[in-house]
Amino acid sequence: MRNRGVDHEESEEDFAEFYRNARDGCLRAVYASVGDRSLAEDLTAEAFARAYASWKKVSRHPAPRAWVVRTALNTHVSWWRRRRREVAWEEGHDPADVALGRLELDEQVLSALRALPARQREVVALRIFLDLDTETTARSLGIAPGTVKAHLSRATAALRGRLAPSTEKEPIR
Amino acid sequence: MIDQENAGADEEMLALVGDAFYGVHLEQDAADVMARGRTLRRRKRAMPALGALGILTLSASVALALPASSGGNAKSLAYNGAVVNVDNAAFSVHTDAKTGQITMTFRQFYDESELKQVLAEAGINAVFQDTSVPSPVITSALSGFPVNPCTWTGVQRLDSSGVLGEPREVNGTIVITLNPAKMPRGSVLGFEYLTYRTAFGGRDGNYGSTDVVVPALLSGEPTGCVLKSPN
Repeated sequence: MRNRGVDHEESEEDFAEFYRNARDGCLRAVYASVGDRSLAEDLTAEAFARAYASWKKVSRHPAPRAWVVRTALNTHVSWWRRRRREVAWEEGHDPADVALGRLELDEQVLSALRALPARQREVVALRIFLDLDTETTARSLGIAPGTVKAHLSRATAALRGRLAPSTEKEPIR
Repeated sequence: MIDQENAGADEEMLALVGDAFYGVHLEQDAADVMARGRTLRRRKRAMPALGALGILTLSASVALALPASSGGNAKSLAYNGAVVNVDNAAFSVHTDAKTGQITMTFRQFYDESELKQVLAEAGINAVFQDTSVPSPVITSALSGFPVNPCTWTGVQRLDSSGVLGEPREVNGTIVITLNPAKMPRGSVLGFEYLTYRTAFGGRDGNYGSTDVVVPALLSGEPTGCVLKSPN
């Protein structure tokens, strides 16, 4: 029989390791989706806290990082916060971010992402930051794998259209 | 060959976008996150009914219980359409006597009939739509989760600036201000009480459902509110 205290410690260590490995990717995915750094941080931290609260369940989830991102984006966010987020995407950056001088992202990339429909942005975020394959992305979004491919293809084409002039001048990486 | 080249170009493009986020880090310590998680876990244990039934159901039970235990609503009404002051467990409506501005505080969403009546007493027509979004819709809306999944039909949605103020959160409630004097003649306030299932809400999880309120200024009495299809 295993000692319950030892199990508890293992669980904590297990979660802490998961958190350390997953937090930046999850934050970036949420940030790319919501377009508001401060909000993304709040949502992501809360989602990780919820993951810890239900770690027994989440640790067995086939894609716990996707669980965190999904939970972050589905976390109860009152209407005005969501509105603020939408406005931020439509009109520019989160004013709080500007005030804090946290606009470290490339303006062109942000602008290109902003121009994508929400679904395409989601697919791109999951692909880039969680490195999810098509099947897992499809399951996470509740859409068909073919739809994921179509969204990704359109999103990439749109990004290329917006970013190509700059990348032509300066080779990518 | 061309497909391979395209795939390679796509990957480069995605890598470029990913690189732009390289400096984005979540600074919060694991210990802080776990401390918050423990709080959530304690709450979950304290309220075992919350998980499967969802927040809305819990809210309803609280809303039904509190007025009875507190001796009912506290009301101060002037029926001239100018001043309304009502406090109960589920909501508050207060009129600023100087400005005429109305402040609505939403605590729980369970029975809109009383709020509808209170607003009517202030000369404001309001309609309410309870929307329970099935999980496929939510599942398909990763980042946007239904912002306003139902579309009011038979009316036009009007510009609400100057009429509906910027909603605020105060101690877990949603506060919306309203300037009834600026409501166009014949216009109607639409409130969508939206309950939706969260992504991985299991029967034992506490993410089973959550709720939000989405107000709108409408040109008249709508014929309904239609849910958008998932895709």
